[in-house]
Formats: sequence, structure tokens, C-alpha cells
Amino acid sequence: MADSEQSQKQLSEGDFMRLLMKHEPALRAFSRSLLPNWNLVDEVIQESSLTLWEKFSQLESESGFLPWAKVVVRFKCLSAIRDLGRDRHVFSEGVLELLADEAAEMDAEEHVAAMQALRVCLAKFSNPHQELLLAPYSGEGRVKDIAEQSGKSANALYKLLGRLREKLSGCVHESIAKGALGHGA
Amino acid sequence: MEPDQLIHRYLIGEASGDEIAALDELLAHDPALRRKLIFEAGTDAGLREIALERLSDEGGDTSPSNVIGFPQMGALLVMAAAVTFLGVALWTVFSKPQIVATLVSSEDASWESSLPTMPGSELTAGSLKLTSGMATIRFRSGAEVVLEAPANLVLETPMRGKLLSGAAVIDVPDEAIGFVMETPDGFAVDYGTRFAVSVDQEEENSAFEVLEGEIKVHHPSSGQEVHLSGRQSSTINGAGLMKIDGPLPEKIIAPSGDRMRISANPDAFSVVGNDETEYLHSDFLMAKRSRSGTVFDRRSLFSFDLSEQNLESYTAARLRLNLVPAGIGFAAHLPVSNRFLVYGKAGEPLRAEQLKPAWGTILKPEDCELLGAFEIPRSQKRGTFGIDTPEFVAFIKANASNNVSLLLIRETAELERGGLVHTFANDSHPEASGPILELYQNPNSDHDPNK
Repeated sequence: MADSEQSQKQLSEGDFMRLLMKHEPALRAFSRSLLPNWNLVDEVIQESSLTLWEKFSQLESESGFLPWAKVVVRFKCLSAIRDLGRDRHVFSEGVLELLADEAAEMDAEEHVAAMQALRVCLAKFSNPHQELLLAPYSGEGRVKDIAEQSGKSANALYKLLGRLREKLSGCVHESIAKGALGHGA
Repeated sequence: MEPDQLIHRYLIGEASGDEIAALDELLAHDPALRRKLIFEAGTDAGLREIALERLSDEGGDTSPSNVIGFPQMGALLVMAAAVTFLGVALWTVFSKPQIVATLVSSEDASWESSLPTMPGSELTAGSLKLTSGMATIRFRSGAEVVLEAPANLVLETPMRGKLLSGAAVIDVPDEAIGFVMETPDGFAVDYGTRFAVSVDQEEENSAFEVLEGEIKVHHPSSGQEVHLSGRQSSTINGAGLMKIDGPLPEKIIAPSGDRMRISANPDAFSVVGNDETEYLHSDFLMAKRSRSGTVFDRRSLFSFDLSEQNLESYTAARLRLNLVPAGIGFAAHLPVSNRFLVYGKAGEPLRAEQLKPAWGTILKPEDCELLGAFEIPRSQKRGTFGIDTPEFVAFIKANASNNVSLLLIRETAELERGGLVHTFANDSHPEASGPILELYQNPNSDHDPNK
């Protein structure tokens, strides 16, 4: 907040665009920790972007953008979940509040470091394994298609996917821990 | 199952309700597991970003605009929005359509819509055409739109709708601040309020009126914008935006000086393939085409007397036919959309010697000129249809000071026996008028048959 005095009146539309682009992946990750599926995340991010734009004048400094945006996104997430009503595929309110508090603490650098590590780690997997890791986001039924092509059951493939994800996140953890030195810049 | 694996199953959308409940229970008491979930959600977000990048490298459709609307709040924001929603756009291509709104209630509503129209229905992005009555639609953002027929509303996103025609009152609670209601002429961004919007397609203008609170109205082609609060209002059209310090003035119906309506001659009639008159009724002009044979086919003939009319100054023409239900046959036995053809021939529909019209002796399409075609969805039982093609206009102009006969047939055949017979009002119909010929002096004036 040290720069707040100076930048208070200087944040422009251009700043908004830049800040939103910069922090959007972090906001998406944050929403994902609260919302049960990507469709809802997209909706919430879209709605939040508009609200952030509307209220941008309230923002005092650039460094305050991410925490401020997370407050808005958190509100939108919880209200989206309330709209779902009694859906068994969502966490309870108490757990959501805890998750929201804890996820809000992650700062911008941590997100960037995790993303970089993820790219490095993913590249270490074989092509078919990379394809399987990305399959859940590559169109509906993609995992099942791969199962059919490879002659395995979808169930077996989901189990393999779970193990691959665990291995991937182990690698990401490890490289973040080392990264304090390695990717310092 | 291992808690780690539960998290992965949850994130890839494979966890059952029971598994999620179990995970919820574990998360409630285990801060380390919560950190794990937050971390894995980040990885999930990263994997998705990479997946979408690779898909777009492979040449997926990356244009956001044709998938999902985004606000046009200045070029800079549009750019930001384009980047922001790129992922959304791509994802939308590959995933189920998202719910944009819920149809809360309706009063005597009838619809032409591919979206569900039962109260309580969840609505995805798409168009809702309300042909009569009123309906309340709640966007997922909380914004509530009370629509008055006739109106055409496009649901774009939970935060954005577009009113193509008609009138609506919009109630925007705090959580939906920023809701955008677009019209063909401009758009309004809402700051938590109630406002009314109406779109006059004929006059090509839109009007916004704040009932409570504050909105900002934008006119994109000129870049003009105006803040409205209290009972202020604004009209927008091609020329620009006008602010009015008070409610909108009441609409005045323009005099129809440049329009002339001619009713069909009273001898309009239908024929049926078997010439059994009990299959006909003088209230209706019928059209039907069977699957095979012509025994139950119906056609209609009607004429206009142009001899007393001076048509020189008229440059456009339209035939109006009012579809009315008669309850003959099943619409389910027809294709979804049905095409009708209108043929024309100068002269009387019946020669003096044909006292009793018969299938075999009346005008046939091959004796006439094809003037135009129109389509009616099988679901629609009422409405005004017709043609205003250049061929029709030329035909009318060429036969000024004459009698013209028009032959109406349904080109689309039924899929099964017993299909719906389309029935249009004849002059004697108690509710709707018979065929009408409308002539316009100014080709730009309204030809909308629904007006």
C-alpha cells in the first residue's frame, strides 16, 4: 500500500485491463477452489469482471487489486452456490468459508510460480499421459474416447488419471520448493 | 478411498454425492487437506489453461463473440474482455450450454421459442419470443425481467440480455449490479435499480426510463453516454441519444397516411381434393398437402379488386393472412416448419360458368405466376403471415386497375396421415380479418405483419 498515495488518482482503464489480465488465472484458480465445476467458474469470473470494472474507482493501488478482486469473486462464488440450492455436489457452507479464507491468502507470486512449475512438470510426462491429464478440459467425453481408443475401461483410465495428477502435483510441489533458488527471477 | 484421490475425482467431476459429502467432512477437520485442495484447484486451473491453449493451437474456434456475449464498455474493456473470455469461449464450445436464466412465471403467455417455456424452466443462452401475455425471467445474476408481449428477448449471459423488440421492466438487485440490457440501438448498464426499456422496431428507436435508482445508457455508434437517475429517461436511435428530464412521453401512434389496406373480395374460398364440401368451412381459408394423393388436400383462392384504386404512388405491397386455429388434424404429423406458396393471376378467381368451385376446375399453380413463399412453424396456431416480395409488388403494380386472384397452397406435405390443416381467417371469421392487401408509399415504412 506504499504506493497508494501516488497512484490513487492514476489508475486508468488501461490499468484495469492489464491488472485483470495479469490476475485472471489466479482468480480462476481461487474460484475453482470454491465452485464445483468450470461452467460456474466461468460464469462467476465473467460476472466478477463486470463488477470489478464498475467498482474499479474504489481501488486505491495496483498492489491491492488481487486481494480486492478476491473479495468480489468470493462473494460471487458463494452467491452462485446459494443459487444452486441443496446440491449434493457442493461443499458445506462452513467448509467453503474456511477454503475461501485460506485460498484468499495465496498471493500473486505464488500463483505464477505454481503455473510455471506446472508447465515444466507436465512436459516431463509421456505424450499419452499428457493427453490424458489434459483430457478432462479438452471436451466432454474426451477421457471416455481415449479409453475406447486404448481398449481400457473408462474406470481404469480415471484411476490412472488420479495417479498421474498426484504425481504431477508432487512434481509441482517439489519444484516450487526448489524454485525459490531456481526460478528466482 | 484416499483423501488425495477424492480431491482429484472431485476436481475432474467424477465424484459422487456421497464421495463429496465424505470429502466435505474430511475438509472440515483437516487444514492440511484444505491446503491440498486449494493447491490442486490451482493445478486444475493451470491444466485447463494449457489444454485450452493447445486446443486453440490446433485451430479451435477462438472467436469469443460468436460464443458468448461480452460488454462493450469502451474499446479497452472489450479487449480485456476478449482476453478474459477467450477461455470461456473455447470452453463453451466443448461443454454443455450453461444456464443463463430461469423462467419464473408467466401470465397468459404464448411463445415462439426453441427454449423451454414452462414456468420454472432453466434457460440457456438463446432467444425467447413472447407472442402474447407477460412473463418474468430471472437471470442467474439475480436481475429480473418482466417481459410484455409482443417481445423478443435474447438471453446472452447471466449478466446480459438483449431486447430486440417489445417492452420490459428490469429489476436489478445489488448482486447483479452491472447487468447490461442491450437493444438494437444501444445498451444500458444498471447500477442497482428498476428501469423500463422499450424497443420500437418500426421507428428504429429504443427508450430507457429509470423507475428507481440509476442507470447509464450508451450509444455505441456515436460513443455518447448518459447517466439517468430518478425518473429520468432517454431515447436512442440512429441519430444519437437524447436525455429527457422526466418519464417518457406517451407513445403516439403515427397516422397511417402513407398506407392503404384493401380487403379481399368476399368470394374467397377453399377447395378440397375430393370436392366434398363438408371438409370446408366458409370461416376459413384452408391449406393442406397430404403425404400422397390429393383427396384431402386443400387450397384457397381469393382476389382483390384493384380497379378503383390509384396505385401509382405506392411502391411496396404486402399480403397479410391471419392464421387462426380450427383444430383439424395433428400438428405433430407435420415437419417442424411448413412452407406456403402464393401464386397470382390477373382476373377473376371464378369464371361465370363455374358456379360451384371444384378442385379440378379452379386455377392451378402452373397457370399462375409464383409470387412468394412464407413459413409457419407447426407449433404456431395463430399469427399474421404473408409475402412482400419484389415479385408480388411488381405483380400488383402491373395489374393496377384490374382484378387479381391469388392461390394459396401448402408446399410442405404432412409426414403422416391426419396432419394439421392450416386455416386462415376468411372474411366471415368472427375474430380475425380475411386476407388483406397492404400498400405503402414509402418502401422504408413498416411492413411488419405483426404490427
